[in-house]
Amino acid sequence: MLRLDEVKTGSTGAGVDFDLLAALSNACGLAGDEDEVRQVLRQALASDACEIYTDTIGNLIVRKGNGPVRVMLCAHMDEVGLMVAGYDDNGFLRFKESGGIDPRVLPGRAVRVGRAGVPGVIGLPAGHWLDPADRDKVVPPKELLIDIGARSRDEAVAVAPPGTPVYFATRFERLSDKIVKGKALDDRVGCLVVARALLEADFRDLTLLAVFSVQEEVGFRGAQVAAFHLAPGLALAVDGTSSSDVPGVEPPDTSTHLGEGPAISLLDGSIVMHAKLREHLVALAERHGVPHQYRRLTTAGTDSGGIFLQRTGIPSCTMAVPCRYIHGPSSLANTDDIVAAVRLVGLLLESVDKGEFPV
Amino acid sequence: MNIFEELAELSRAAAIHGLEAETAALLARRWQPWLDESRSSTLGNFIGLARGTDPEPRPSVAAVAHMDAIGFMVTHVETGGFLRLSAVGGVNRRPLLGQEVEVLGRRRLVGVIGAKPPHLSTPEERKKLVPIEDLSVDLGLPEAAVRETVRPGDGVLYRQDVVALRNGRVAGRYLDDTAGLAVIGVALEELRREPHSADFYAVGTVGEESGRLSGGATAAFELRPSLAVVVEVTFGTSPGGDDPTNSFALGSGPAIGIGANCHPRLVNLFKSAADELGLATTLEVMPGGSGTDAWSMQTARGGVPTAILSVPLRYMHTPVETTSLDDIRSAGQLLAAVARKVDWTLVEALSCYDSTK
Amino acid sequence: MREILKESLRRLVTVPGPSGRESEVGRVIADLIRPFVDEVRTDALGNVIATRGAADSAAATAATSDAASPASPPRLMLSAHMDTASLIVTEVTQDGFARFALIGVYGAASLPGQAVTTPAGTVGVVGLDDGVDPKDIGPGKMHIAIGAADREAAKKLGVSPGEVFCLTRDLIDLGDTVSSPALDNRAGCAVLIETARLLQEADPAPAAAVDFVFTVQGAIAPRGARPAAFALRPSLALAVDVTPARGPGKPKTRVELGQGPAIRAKDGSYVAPVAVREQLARAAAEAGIAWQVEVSSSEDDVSDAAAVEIAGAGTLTGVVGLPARQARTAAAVVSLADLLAAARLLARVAGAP
Repeated sequence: MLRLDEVKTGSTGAGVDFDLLAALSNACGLAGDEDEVRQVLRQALASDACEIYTDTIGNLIVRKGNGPVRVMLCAHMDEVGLMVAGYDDNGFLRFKESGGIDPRVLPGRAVRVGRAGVPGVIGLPAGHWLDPADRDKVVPPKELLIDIGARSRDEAVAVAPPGTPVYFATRFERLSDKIVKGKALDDRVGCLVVARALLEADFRDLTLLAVFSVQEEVGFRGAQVAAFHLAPGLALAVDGTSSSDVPGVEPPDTSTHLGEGPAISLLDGSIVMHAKLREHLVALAERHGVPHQYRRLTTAGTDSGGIFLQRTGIPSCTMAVPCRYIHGPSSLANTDDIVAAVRLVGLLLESVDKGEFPV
Repeated sequence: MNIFEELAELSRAAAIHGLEAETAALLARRWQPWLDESRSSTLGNFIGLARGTDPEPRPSVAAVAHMDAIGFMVTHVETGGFLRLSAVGGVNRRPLLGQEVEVLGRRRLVGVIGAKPPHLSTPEERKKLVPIEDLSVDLGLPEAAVRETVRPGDGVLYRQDVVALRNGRVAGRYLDDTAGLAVIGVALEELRREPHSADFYAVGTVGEESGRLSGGATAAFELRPSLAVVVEVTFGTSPGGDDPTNSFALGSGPAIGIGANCHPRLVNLFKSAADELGLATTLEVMPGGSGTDAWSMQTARGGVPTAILSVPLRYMHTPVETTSLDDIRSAGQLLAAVARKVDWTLVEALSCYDSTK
Repeated sequence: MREILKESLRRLVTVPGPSGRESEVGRVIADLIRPFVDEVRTDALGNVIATRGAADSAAATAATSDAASPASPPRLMLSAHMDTASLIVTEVTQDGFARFALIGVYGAASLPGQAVTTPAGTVGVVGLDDGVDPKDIGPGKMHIAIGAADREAAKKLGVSPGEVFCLTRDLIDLGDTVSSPALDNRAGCAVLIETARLLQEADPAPAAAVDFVFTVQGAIAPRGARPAAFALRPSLALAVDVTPARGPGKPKTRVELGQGPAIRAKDGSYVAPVAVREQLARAAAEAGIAWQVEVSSSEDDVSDAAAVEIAGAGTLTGVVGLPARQARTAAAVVSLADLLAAARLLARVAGAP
């Protein structure tokens, strides 16, 4: 459970604000229920913002500066998880998935149920009793149940009414000097990058609009709404992206590699990135020696897909921090990639401020 | 209001996307005593307005149900005068063989989707469903007469009048979503009894079953409602193979949607209004997409707070959809009660989304 | 007239214009259409908008306005996507071959043996990997040969992950019909240009304002058309796109080559308003143009109309399909007569006599 007094910013170790990242990763926020994450970000950013507010769908909008050029940075607050959807007579909880989850990561997981973080486990039959053939089968989520120790349906309903969100019970940790582990690194690392870019920003001719969006995992919905009412001249989405640089996977299926810098996206299932904006980002990275790579996957979708078709069209691109085991209970990221991402965002803002990228 | 009669008339007028005008005209006629004005939008949405009494600018609530239904379009007329079909919307293929249909040609014709008699089909064939492109509609007319009356692109609908079953249940074609329209009718009648602060838009949308939810999105864009309630049908408990998380008993009252597509404050508002009225309700958990107009309405323009209210319905997308008249009445009363609570204080609270409060 | 159309097509089909990188084909289109319109501009996403008649002044403020109603006086929007399906390099092997993914709907079986070009001009040939079982044929089992001995050499030719190839074979002239892998949707672009030419030549000159919109990313999904429609707020928007026609074998469609434009009743994600279908049918009858109805069950038949109708408070839309055998393959064939008829139909709708 998140304690707000744990949210401090500033301890930067390897150049990364670990306190803020820990608070963000541990905070719970399902699509449509991103409150806790919103509070962490509000607390971290309110004193530095010209304007900070929540819109109708729940996006947290933080404005800094008042210049003629409007730039939107977008990172999503929601994570994939589960939602209580039913019960059985013995007090176990049935659930539905929120966002895309590989069903194989669910059995045997420790979870936290609801805002109060009631501990639960997703149990599974002991292998002893199964037919050998069945032991290898994937259990469909519909057949899985969450055990909170309740002894009756009534007790279960009282503790976890329908619609209660359920999260992986992962605690954020630093595994080594550069590698962090936590849940929801997609896209809490993006939130961190955008938050830091905002805190470090100081530009004359820009209105910097940091949008911490909602409901990205179910169709980049918050971003659509924010882009419509903010009407920026250009937008950069900072997301977490799949990094499969693990044994048994060869490029290009690895998509991205930890430690090789933020991944510039070429296209995904929702958008072909704005060519000039993408090329400009790469040119900036090369000119200033910022490590970077390309995202090789061409599927899935990000907030940019929700932004670029709003109103009369908004040049948009996605830059992502590589995360291993994305959409699973415990993902990994390299802090060098986070630092490089913050740097690259800063360079982009500076460049736009100087008029190098006409908007 | 005689809900059975309302359903029977709406069911008779219902048609596939593109042919909603008859339903829109019916709504204009039937709801006229309860509306101050009505019109159609560019894409054919029906928009009726029951004005509120607050001074302008007034908040507004849009109650939305779709007018279109699933069915088919004729792809061509074959030798012998038989018709071939293409599905419009998510047609359930299982009841098709042997089903009577209506063909909306130059005039309405009755036909049968023919099935080979058991004597002529093999055991293998009988285990599989016939793909829609292999079905044909027999109108019992000579080819020349068919070609004169029916053209490719003409609509084809299930043929099944609404019938009363026991215990206040009704069955028939297209209760998805004439049941939703009937709920709005009940609410309109209820709202007419006493003044209400906010404007109440009664909206029949087009194209929910077969498009990209443009009816809902464009209605939200045009009306800019302070909030929108989409009235739909949801899966009613029925024999065999129910998913317990997706099944609601007939008679258990309306299901209030909860999840990303449903503003949490509106969820609480519906729950408390139901408690005040002593109405039974259930919660329908939809973590992501709701498969309703609310999905596209929520992100229209700068965002619209949405809620989803559903009536349990068995055998969805078949000609014999079955629902409970009591559930429709309760849903209508609940909708009206919530609409009465809409004022600027509520709307202010909605515009700053924060589910802790 | 036929020759002019053929020339436009000849020019258009060899320009590499993959989804998201349409600027070069946009320039070629702008050059071809400029003599027939009053203004040509490009919007924020790269859509090319050529306007006949006065530009809508409200469009300039549409970026921040909340306009719900159509522009006044009424405007007609005609759209065609200018991008084609393309091959994006995902990896370059040690031996200098490019592996790729297919962007957009396209018949992968027709790729091996095709000449491909990058926007920068590097040429290559698509090959099928050795030892592939015929039923496994797909982009994952193909490669592009560019004449590079290794990765470094490939890089020098500008080919590394992220580069995009398009099928740019010269137009094959079969007399009354022509073939090119890029007919989807350069044929649509050519028809729009021809429509502009007809309107310019029409006497008396039609008064209606017409926006010819060449949209981006349409080979993947109807995208670019939506913000264009939001800015222009047309009263009627017609999308022009290639649609499959019957060929040898077991066709799934009823559309025939040589029977005129296909007025679409529905496709995988859209149902055309009856009023628009009837308006098109009437215009065709008045102009003596033969036409056919298209009722599609395919998820692959998606047009700009689906994205335009949802813009703002709703826009009336229609789809005029250009029949193509082997559509969305390298062997695509269209009939020049069908294309000319489509242009005449659109011109008639725009007010030409």
